[in-house]
Amino acid sequence: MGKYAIIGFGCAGYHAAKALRERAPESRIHVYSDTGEGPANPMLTTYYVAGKISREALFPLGGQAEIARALDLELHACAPVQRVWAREHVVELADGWRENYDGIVLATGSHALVPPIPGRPEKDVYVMRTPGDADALLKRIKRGISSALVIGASWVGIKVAEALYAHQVPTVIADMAPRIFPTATLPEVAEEIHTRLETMGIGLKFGCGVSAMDRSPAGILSRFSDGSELQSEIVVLCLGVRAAVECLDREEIQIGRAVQVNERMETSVSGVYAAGDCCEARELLTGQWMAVNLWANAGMQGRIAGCNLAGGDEVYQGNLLHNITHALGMDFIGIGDNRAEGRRLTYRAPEGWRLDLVCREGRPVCVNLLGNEGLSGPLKAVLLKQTKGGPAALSTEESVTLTRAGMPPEIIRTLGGAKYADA
Amino acid sequence: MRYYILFHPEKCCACGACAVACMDQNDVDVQHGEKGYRAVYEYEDAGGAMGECTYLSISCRHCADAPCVAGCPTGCLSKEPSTGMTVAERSRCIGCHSCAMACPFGIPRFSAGDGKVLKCDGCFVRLACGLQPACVRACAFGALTCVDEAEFRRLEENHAISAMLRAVNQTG
Amino acid sequence: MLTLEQKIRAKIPGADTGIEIKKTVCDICAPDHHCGIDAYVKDGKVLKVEGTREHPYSHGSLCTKGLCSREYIYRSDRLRTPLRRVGPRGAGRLEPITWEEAYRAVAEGLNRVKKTYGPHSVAFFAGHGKWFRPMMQRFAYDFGSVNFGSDCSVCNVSLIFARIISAGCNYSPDIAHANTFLGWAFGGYYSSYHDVQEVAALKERGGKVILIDTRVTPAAKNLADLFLQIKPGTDGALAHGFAKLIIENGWMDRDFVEQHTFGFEEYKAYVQQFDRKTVSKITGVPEELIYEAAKLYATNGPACINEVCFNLAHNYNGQQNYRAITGLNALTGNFDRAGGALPAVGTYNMRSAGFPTREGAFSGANRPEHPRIGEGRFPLWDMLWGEYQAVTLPEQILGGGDYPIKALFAAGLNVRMLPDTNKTLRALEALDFFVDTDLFLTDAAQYADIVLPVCSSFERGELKVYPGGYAMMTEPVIPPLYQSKTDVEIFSELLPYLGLKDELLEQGYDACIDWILEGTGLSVESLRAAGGAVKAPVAREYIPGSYVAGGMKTPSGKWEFHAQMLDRFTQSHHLEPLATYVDCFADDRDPALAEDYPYILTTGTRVPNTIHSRLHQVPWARSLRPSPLLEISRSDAQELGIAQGEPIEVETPQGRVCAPAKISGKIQKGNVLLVHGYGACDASSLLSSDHLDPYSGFPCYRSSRCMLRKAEE
Repeated sequence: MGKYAIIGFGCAGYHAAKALRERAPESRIHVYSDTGEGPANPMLTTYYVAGKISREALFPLGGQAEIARALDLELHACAPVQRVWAREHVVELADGWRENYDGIVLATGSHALVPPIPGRPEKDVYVMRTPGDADALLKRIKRGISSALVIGASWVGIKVAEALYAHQVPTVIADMAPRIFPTATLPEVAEEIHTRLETMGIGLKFGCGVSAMDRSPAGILSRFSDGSELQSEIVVLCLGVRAAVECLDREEIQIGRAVQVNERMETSVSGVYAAGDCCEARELLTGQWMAVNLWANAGMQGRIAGCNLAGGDEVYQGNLLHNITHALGMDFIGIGDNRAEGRRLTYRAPEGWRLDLVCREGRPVCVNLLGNEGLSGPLKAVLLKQTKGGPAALSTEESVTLTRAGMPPEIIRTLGGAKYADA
Repeated sequence: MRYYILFHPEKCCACGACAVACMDQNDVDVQHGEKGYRAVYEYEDAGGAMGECTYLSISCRHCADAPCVAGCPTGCLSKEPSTGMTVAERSRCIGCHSCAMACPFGIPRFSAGDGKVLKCDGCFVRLACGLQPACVRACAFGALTCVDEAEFRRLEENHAISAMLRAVNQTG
Repeated sequence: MLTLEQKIRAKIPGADTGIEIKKTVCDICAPDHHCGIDAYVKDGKVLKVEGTREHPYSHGSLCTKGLCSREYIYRSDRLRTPLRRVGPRGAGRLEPITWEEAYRAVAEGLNRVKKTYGPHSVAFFAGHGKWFRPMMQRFAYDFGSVNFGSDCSVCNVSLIFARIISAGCNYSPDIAHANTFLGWAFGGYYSSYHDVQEVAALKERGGKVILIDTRVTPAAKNLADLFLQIKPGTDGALAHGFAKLIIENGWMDRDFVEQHTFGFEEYKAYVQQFDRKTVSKITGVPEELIYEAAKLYATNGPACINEVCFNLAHNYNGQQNYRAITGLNALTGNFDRAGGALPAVGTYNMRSAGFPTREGAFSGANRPEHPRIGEGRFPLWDMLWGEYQAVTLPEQILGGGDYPIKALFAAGLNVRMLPDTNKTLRALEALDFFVDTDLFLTDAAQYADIVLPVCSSFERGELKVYPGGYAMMTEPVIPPLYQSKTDVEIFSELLPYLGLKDELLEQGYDACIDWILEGTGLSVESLRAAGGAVKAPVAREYIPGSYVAGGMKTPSGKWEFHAQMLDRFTQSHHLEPLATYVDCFADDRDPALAEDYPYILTTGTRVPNTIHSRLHQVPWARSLRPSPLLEISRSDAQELGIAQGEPIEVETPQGRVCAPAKISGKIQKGNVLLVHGYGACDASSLLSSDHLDPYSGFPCYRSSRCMLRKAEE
């Protein structure tokens, strides 16, 4: 019978607790949470702001107390952890209270990144990560807004713009990068997305960063690196997230941009596991350490961390770097390295969707798919299989699945599939 | 209890009886663009031997460790406890397409009306009432069968389960 | 725990959900199937269908078409009332009228023609429906016309002829007890799942399967141990090739041939010319395969042949090819033997259930003595079949033939049943009076003066018989939709309007059935009380060999390789008593045809989603294959520069259609397959009404000369 601590209670923390409870029914499981609320899905915050879901729906796994009861957890609500003494397996709270454990799962998640911007006012500048962030923005929207600036053309940025669009707030998206989803899109695909966004009335401002802000009569005046200025009533900063690793000591535990884990989700310190946004695992296509912050990844990692902490031996298949976005009526999927050089293939379907591939040595290294959500999964599955050293040729079933999702025969051939003729 | 819907391609002829039975069971209005949850395909390899072809009947695999369930941000998709089928509680769907984008088989679709997910529920209510899934019940050739856990494991030992089905049921 | 709402949504039958299972049958396809249906009914509405598990024939299965039943019966364009034509024929302008008005108009129209031209100038024609035929035939004779015809004119009758003139009876393959199954054009997967189930069972018990077809079918892929891909219309040559090998190698059943056959030496001498090399050249089947198949069939008995009833018939040499094939049954002693071919007694409505009824006496009761239309053109038909050969009907209406047809009473006429659709339409246009019954306003019905709405099998009760001595009476599972009636109600109710008297028919369907069942130990009442299928008390299990032992019903009392029934037509019509083989284009009038039209067009193949045109407009069925299917070989596609799905034109001297090409490795070079029954891509419009089998009169749906070209954009 062990005694374990889980630091953080989001998706990863929940699944770690659940797996621990299943594998070690007799164990004592302590859960530390910054909040008093259940595991929130950050992805849902913009749906809440847009008015598509209730606040309660931000917590799809239930409330804290309810889960604690169901999984028999010892819950430390609203108890931010000050310090994790990794080697000693000791957790220390802000009030100095310390507790020793047999093992720990770090599931501290990540924070919205707010870089220092000269002159940034306290008021009317928002971020979007937690239910609290969503509450604040929604409250402001309800008071009435005539214009908004979203800084950061990231996934969150687009989703925030979508929420503002739902409230008919005129919005401009700005980013230092030359295009939308700069780490995922190929330039021509980004071009097409830009056109669609502009057609919807969303302003775009790429290639210049915010250098300073000022209060102005109309709200906030943002000054950009190219000398231009923009007035808006509010600003939402969507500049990405940073792993929450403040409670850890870099001397003690290996940390890159996040806590580094092996394929068993164990950190450099024995008995200390990490899962979710606070950790980075090997990326499958590049082999580099990388955090791929997705709800599904967090759940899977949490489960494996919990399971292995309780003596199991499960392996995380690794992260696949990919960007999937469904926003403003568009489905975008970007897989792989968009800076890779190689042979370019573009397919434009008569139904309006498009697929762009960059291939090297006959294999795709970057995929952009716009407007076909059904093809994303099959395509990902095939790329994953090939990346893991599976046969380069597609099985009949895989070829059929891709064909069924609308993939044209010439691209299926490129991927190693048979030349299929539909019935 | 956990049930498995198995497909035996060597018995299939892509007649579509399963697909129509699914439409009948689920009141699918194809005239207004709706599609059933099961579809049949007849595929021929244009470079293959003369006369060679593959017949397939495709629907949700009801994976044990379903990527769509893992990818669903709202808990709309889940594994139905009494049958193991992957089911959708449509009132919770926000139409975010995460499940579709996660599914390796491209199964989930979305209603043109409310934008919410549409997928096969494995006829779990019929199963719970002692009836077979509509598609299985309709197959005259034994190309679709539905078995319980014990039978599935027995077939697995006899190597009578396809690689794909084994793969999606590893942790069943 | 399931909620009631979940159960209602999932259509779970039970007292709590109010969903009841009611039993009926599907009559979408041929009457030798008519599978049992469990209709899930609530508040008088069918919610879902499933196969009836306890059904004595279908055992719980339904095919794709049967599973479309709900959309079929509730098709949004079901006819709601009787209609009267107000526009030109074919324009589709009709107005609703009452039944009273309709009956008066029908009586007036038919009696007017009767008075002017005589009763035989009114032709009666039964189309897709089968269940009402005994009553309709009797009704025609009551009216005084000898001219009752049906779609049997192009369907299973040719095969029955081949059997009758060879063996004196109809028979069927005993797959359940066979060691080897020879499927000749066996399309079971899409037209008869029961046969596939039996063949799969045969394979499971170690039996062997030989399949012969012009295309690679699902059966060829899933079931065949040996598959012989053959050129269209060359089946007779292959059968004779088998026969030569069987005789030469001593694989024949000498005792059976000596004791029970007639004309063997003549037959033996005739087949000598069909050596393997020659046969391979004619049929395209490799020599080794011909040998392997003949050997397996003849030495791994008992062996049965399934020579499907409709497809081989549809060639110029169809009847002779059938006879060549069926001769193998006698040669190998597989006739009237368990696991071979077993004689079958017709019971009721084109089905043999193992006991006789008074159906023939009922339907033929008042038959007038008068020649039918077209008599003398196909003398074998005249001799063996009690209906007019309907391929002659358009010609006869258009003024050809012996006497005029001026009015037509049709029940479910499909204008695309006959070759040369334009000619059929011209004939319908030329009629003085035309009445049609149907569920829908078909292209034929749009030519009718009066259209009467009839109901589906779900909305009526009827007698069905099934092999094994079974009979059952169905009950309506829902009331007739709108103002529709059953066809038999219409015949009964029309009698007084026409001034006719037929006490039995006037009493309605049940009284007729009671009359027909007399002597069987069954009655409508006892069948209703039983609630499902029951065994007829008079039914006896057939003992193989007893038919042969009692002497066959042929002139010689034996199996006739030399069919003496045909001797009398050799001089007059050049019908050969031996199953001689001729080319399927032996009737080409001009040798240039073969050069101008170098491809062979095959229509009429079975697809899973429809039978003929019956389900093309049922959305579920249509969704499985939305566009017309036109299949060509890979090499022809390459030569013509056609890519998958590109439009392609098929042209014959009769006409031209266009459809997207399906390029396939399943079809051989030089052959073209076009699925029939589509309105906008009408295969029948390409076929000649003169290219007919001289024995049966059957049209050549399976082999017509045609030209292919890439369609101009």
